[in-house]
Order: sequence, then structure tokens, then C-alpha cells
Amino acid sequence: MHDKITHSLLLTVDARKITHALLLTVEARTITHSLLLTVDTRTITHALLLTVEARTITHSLLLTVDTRTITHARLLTLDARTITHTLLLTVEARKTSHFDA
Amino acid sequence: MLTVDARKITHSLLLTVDARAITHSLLLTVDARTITHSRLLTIEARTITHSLLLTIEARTITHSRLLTVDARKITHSLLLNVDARTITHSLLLTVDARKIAHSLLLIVEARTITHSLLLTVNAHKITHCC
Repeated sequence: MHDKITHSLLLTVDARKITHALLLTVEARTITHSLLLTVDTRTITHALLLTVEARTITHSLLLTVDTRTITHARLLTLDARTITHTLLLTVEARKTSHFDA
Repeated sequence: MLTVDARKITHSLLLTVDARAITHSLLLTVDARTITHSRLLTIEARTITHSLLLTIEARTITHSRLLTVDARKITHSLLLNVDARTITHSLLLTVDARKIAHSLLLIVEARTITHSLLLTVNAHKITHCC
């Protein structure tokens, strides 16, 4: 387990198609001022992009997704004690369907 | 799209979605003890159909704005489902749409609700809603 993640961008993904994928898992005590994952793609299907387990998350944007179509996907799962001043997920898409959260 | 399991959520915006069409989707589920000074979900979309946008299970929700929806057409959807002990100083749901049909906008189960505005709707046409 990482102790602290600060001012970090862990992963950027630029792809046409993402299917049956888990791109990034993060376990940390504290995440501050970080953007963990950015995804730029056409299609996302049957994917869980990011899982985060942390005690405290502050001043962070965990995941941004820019895509055309998202189907049968769960983009982010988060287990945390305290979340403050944080935007967890931004999604820009044409069509989103069949999400199970 | 997003599931959050947390003790405390403060001064946070969990999810923003900008999409043309949202169908058969559950965008955000939150399980938390305390939610304060937060804006959980904002959505800008043309069409929302057969979707449950936000479900929340919490002890206390204070000074928060849970869901804002800006859409052209909303059909066959349940926008917000809230199960909480106490809700204070909060605005649960604001909807700005042209047409809303065959939808249930808000379900709230709570012990205490004080100083709160549960629902505001601005629409041209509303049919078959409860």
C-alpha cells in the first residue's frame, strides 16, 4: 500500500476501443491534488476503469473519460473514509447505456 | 458508472456527465454516513431513458445539492432515490427539461427533513409522472 499520493497523474490511456479491462487499481492512505486516470477512447464496453481504496481523498479528480459510447461498464469504484473538496469522475460521451453500478 | 462507499463526504462533486443519450443506466450509488456541503451528481444530456440516475444511503445529509439534471427529454426513469435518517439545509433534485414522461422523479425515505427543498422542476410538458 502506498502511503501518500500527491500531485500525481498515474495513468493516461489513448485507445480506440477498451473492452473487458481494468486499467488501474490504487491503494493508498492519502490521495491529494491528484488526477489518477485519464481515458480518451471511442468505445468502452464491459470495463471497470479504476478502483480506488483510500482513507482520505482531498482536492483530487480521480478519473476523466472522453468517449463516444459506453456500454455495460462501471467506470470507478471507490472505498474511502473521507472525501473532501474532490470531483471523482467526469464523463463526456455521446451515448451511455446499460450501466450497473 | 460510479459507486462510492465512504464515511464522510464533504465539499465534493462526485460525478459530472455530459452525454447525448443515457439509457438503461445507473450513474451513481453512494453509501455514506455523512454528506455535507457537497454536490453529488450533475448531468447534461439530450435524452435520458430507462435509467436510475442516483441512489443514496446515508445517515446525515446537510448543506448539499444532490442531483441536477439538464435534459431535453426524460422518459421511463427514476431520477433520485434517497434513504437517509436526517436531511437538513439541502436541495435534493433540480430538473430542467422540455419533456418528462412515464417517470418517477424522486423517492425519499427519511426520519427528519428540515430546512430543505426536495424537488424543483422546470419543464414544458410533463405526462404520466408521479
